[in-house]
Amino acid sequence: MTEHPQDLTLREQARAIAEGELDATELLEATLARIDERDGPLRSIAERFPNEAARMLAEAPDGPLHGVPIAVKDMFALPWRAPRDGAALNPFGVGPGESAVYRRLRDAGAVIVAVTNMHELGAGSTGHISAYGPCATPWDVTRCGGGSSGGSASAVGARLVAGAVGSDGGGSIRYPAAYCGVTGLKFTWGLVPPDGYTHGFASMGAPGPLCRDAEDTRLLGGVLLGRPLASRRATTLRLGIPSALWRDLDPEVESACRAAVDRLAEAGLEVREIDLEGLEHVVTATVIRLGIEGVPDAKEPLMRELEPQLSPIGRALGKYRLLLSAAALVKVDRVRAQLRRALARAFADVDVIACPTVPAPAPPIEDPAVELPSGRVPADFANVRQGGLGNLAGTPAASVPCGLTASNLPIGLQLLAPWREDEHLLDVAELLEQLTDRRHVEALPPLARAASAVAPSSE
Amino acid sequence: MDAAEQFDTYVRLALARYGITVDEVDLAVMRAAEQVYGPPLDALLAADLSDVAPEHDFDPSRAPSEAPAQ
Repeated sequence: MTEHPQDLTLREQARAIAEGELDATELLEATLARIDERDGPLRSIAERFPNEAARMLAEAPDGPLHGVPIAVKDMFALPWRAPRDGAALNPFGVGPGESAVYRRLRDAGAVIVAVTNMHELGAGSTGHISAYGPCATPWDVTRCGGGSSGGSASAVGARLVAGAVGSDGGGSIRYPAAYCGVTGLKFTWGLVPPDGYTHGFASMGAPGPLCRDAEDTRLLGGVLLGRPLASRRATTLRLGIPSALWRDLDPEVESACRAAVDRLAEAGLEVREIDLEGLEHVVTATVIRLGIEGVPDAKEPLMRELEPQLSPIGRALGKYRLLLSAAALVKVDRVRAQLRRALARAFADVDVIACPTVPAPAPPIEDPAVELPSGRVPADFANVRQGGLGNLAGTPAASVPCGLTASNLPIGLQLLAPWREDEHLLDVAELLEQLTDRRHVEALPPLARAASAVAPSSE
Repeated sequence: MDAAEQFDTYVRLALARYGITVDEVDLAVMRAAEQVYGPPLDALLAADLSDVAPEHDFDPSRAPSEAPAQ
């Protein structure tokens, strides 16, 4: 083997270990070395675990990810570490332990090599605010890696690991996937048990995999779900285009996403315009639900301890959310009912819905706002307009790479499927990869094109 | 009292009710948030959603069990 083992896909790593072509200990060492080599300007990794990972490897059972290093977002309990939610501590009292995500990875033989950076308390789509420092995209380290699962996406994009776990309460897997040029899947709500997940109380959030392409996402996703994600032919599927989610977009984003839909149509997918009632309130509904859901679960003494250590923005927004009215929350839940019914009706006519994941590519870390035809707005506001629907509804949703801007920033196409039909998203993603000769999923960011450390096994 | 002063006064008094103090940084962040999210929140509060039936058996892992004609 001549290439660095972290330049292999997740499935190639698993297969090479299973067939004795790659030594799992050497893979672990090469992974830690690559993190040390590349992560400095990215800040995608919050903490790495050479000792615990070696212990997991020594005890790893046979399984689909035997010996394969995986990074996990800072929201899931590990036996040796309490999650911190991108802050000094998590205010929900989740301590060290065996989260469901940990158990499923361990039982599949995976090795948890690191915890990834995330937006402070999961409260942002950019990842520029975190106790671990701002997370960058490997495509331009002055720009946001996304949030809140930015570290997971950035680490996969930079080829530090081939698979990472994120979570998505308001687009938090999909936005970073789009910013970092990787594939991210938010499962249908509730399919992974919530134990040991700091936001396990929430009706919006779900864990999910981030990988380089759809086949790897299918592999890691199957491990997290505890069942294989079957594949089927995508060319017979019907694709819905909600016109409201194709408005006010960066021209390059719109062009790349439309080109992706055109390719799918040329391959045989039937494309239909659809209307989704209630979308005009999706930003407010998402922000209010996300803002308020954690209030009862935050422990008062922990909040007091945490508050002085929060960012000024995090501290102020923590207070601001207490001012949101109960009347608004009741209306949010009516909007949610309206959107869920609208989606259910739409899914009677189409199998998958497509729209841009984010309306503009990754904004600068120093000033995370985006320029849209309607004007300049905070990236959070613009992003939630695209991503909130899947969380309010509970449906599975994915972001798949579909292009690069002229300035070399990734563009993502968002796909949504009916509840518990998560597989369809990967079917469409795989078809799109085939139709584009895999050039979007194999595109290397500048940081990953640099000469890399060579694995011990290849020296 | 202009709108900004009204907002600041409201925030200070409402949070004081819970024993929470705010400083100028808090207020600046909240004003910025209000500028972005205030208008859509007002639009939501003004929206007539009386014909949208609540979802009594809400389960985000599944499609809504009832889908009344609208």
